[in-house]
Amino acid sequence: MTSAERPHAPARPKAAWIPAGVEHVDATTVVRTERVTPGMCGPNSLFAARLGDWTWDAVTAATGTDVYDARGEDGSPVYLSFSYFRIHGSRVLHPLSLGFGDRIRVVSGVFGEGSESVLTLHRVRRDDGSAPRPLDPVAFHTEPDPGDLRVENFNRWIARGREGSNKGLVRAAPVGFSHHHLPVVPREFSPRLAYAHARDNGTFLDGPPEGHDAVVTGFTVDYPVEASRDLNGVGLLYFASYFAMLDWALLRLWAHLGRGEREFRDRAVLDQRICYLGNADADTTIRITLILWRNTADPSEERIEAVLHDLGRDTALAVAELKVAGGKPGR
Amino acid sequence: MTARARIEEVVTETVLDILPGLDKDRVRGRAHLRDLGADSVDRVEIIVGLLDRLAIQEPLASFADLPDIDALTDLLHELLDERSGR
Repeated sequence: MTSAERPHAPARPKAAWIPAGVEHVDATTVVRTERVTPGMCGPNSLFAARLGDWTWDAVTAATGTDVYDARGEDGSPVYLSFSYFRIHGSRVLHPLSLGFGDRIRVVSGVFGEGSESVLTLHRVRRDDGSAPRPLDPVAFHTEPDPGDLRVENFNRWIARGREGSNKGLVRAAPVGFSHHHLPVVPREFSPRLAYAHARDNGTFLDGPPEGHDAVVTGFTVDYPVEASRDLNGVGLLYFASYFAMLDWALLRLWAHLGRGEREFRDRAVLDQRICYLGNADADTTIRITLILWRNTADPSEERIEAVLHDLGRDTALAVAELKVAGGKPGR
Repeated sequence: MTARARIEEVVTETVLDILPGLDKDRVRGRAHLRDLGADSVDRVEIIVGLLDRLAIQEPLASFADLPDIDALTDLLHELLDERSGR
């Protein structure tokens, strides 16, 4: 829907609370400058976790709904869950290239995706002191800058216990959630395309990636979900834990290929995306199945496909894909 | 353009907003939203989007058991007729 076609586009409601250090660039775009701390970087899920917090902050600022304390009509909590998460970098800037003390500038734009969903795009750059540029959703996709880390978060409101329910039509968005004023991205850039493809096909790919050879297929590891480690503050499997599970599986794949822990830590994660399909109980075991493709033109570049499967419920929990560089070919 | 044709157009556009990978020609007739790939959240978004665009106030429950796109279009047409007092 174009803005012109909208029945009404009210002004952005005033946010009940805006996080310290977050400033509006315009009504639906915010900027923040961060210093990288030990709690937000490293070869694990910490940076993804922080990005998720910044998404909740941006949506709070752009919609006026306090995402951290959102409630449905019956007064029960509703959550802005992660459905699709992509971190797209380059050899110049990728999540593992961030170190203690680095200063980064994060511009976050919030876009309308309907009554139950929202899209947040983050452009993360090393802070060079320049004024933040507006976030154009088309340029975001078509004019990538190697100095940018481009993050897409497609989130959907869920009420606990109703996720995946097919009984009737029930809204999960919180009371007062305002989305009509949000700009929209052109359909060809909708996160729903990748999300639906992965959900329906169990992969982001349309087939074997061109110019790649399959090096490992059907490598599986079983990950026991730990209440002491993997759950968030409301008892759900934390979205960032999926990143940690993938790394956990990847490290074992590295070992299977004869690579060491140093090579694992030295890899560059050029692109990573996850389609979230469900949540899991604390006592479940998740089977992670990996396929590794190697670029024939540049053997240092590899693509890994992953499917996370809840063995207890026999359901797919997530589909993921990574593009990495620097992994020494062990075979 | 007839009122029904206009509603069909709005239904197609709204469905494509939520299912952007869908071939436009599939949004018609006997297809159920589920058959088109809409999960439960997608279906809520489609119905809420239609109610917003057509400025109709109607409980979501009225749309829960509709068998296909035709039935959805018929119901919207009926609700608009009621609203205009015809």
